[in-house]
Amino acid sequence: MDIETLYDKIYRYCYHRLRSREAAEDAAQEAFARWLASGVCRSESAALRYLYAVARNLCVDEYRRKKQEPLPQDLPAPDGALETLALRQAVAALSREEQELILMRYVNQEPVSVIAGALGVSRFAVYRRTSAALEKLRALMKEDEP
Amino acid sequence: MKKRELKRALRDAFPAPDPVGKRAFLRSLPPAPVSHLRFLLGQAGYIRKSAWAASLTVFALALAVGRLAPQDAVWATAALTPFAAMAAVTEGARSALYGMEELELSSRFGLKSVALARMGALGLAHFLLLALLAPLGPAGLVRTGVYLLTPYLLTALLGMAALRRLRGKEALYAVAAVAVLVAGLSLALHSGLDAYAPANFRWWLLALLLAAGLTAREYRNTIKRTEELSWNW
Repeated sequence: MDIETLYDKIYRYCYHRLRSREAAEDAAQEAFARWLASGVCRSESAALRYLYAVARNLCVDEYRRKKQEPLPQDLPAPDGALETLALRQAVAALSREEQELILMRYVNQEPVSVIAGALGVSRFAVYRRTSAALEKLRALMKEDEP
Repeated sequence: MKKRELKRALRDAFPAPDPVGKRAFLRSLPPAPVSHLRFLLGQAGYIRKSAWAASLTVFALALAVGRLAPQDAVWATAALTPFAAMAAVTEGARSALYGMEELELSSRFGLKSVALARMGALGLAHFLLLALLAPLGPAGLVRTGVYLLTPYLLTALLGMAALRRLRGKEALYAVAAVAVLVAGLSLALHSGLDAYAPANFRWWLLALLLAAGLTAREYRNTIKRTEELSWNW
């Protein structure tokens, strides 16, 4: 189990929920501290399920505490320039839940079982919602095409 | 954009700034927890090849005897199992035999867990091998199982008792002597007393129950002694 990879995934997840580097780091570190203190999740998939679930709750708490901040400008520039920018805009047009699913499934590349466990829904629901979100994203991208 | 291209492109669509405190945080973390199974498999990897080789040799010899002289398979295999037990017992006490207890106690996994895991891994492998051998005997599954387990447990019991009292090479020789003694006893029981006759099975059963109970007690005492050592350091 590579702790650094787990950390990167949870941090990225928290960042896209909170839109703040400091808050995301705090949430990711708190999630890790709770996971290590729990001592119950030994396998990687169980650890990920636990970490995502805790990180999600922490992000919700943080989000409720203060209003969403705008996306800062110090983000890494995309390599594919225009196409990636268009994709980012299309992603931003998705709902929070859809963005969360896309991030977990295609960016962090989590198995459906981990996402289902973390979100507390069935595997079928994850599969269905992810496919729908991906289709919506494709449709948005098509709209933007000249 | 095709679905596959879209999935690939999505990896760049969720940018995040590099975390500032990651290195410091990861350094401050205790080692990641390990599952019991992973720990057992990990420790099994540290068991000496000679211990596995001894176990497999016993198994191969038993199979060979079973094929060449099926009528002698049970008592001959029973006389071999003490050597497999010797391998398991000495493996669990390896750190004590080589005076490495202090080092093991200061390592990530405590001496108790390591000894328990190694003896457990080897013992489990032996029981699996014995379970495979048991149906091959002409005396039936239960009787053969009892005949094979009794000398195994007797050797484990006496070996652990010797290891608890003696140190270093002396302990190793004592365990080897116990294995030879029990193997000799198994042979003597066959040639002198015809102890493997069905009429004497109840005595075997009694001996097995006694050996199992005493082995469990000795195992507990061995672990307790490790805890005391741990406390003393």
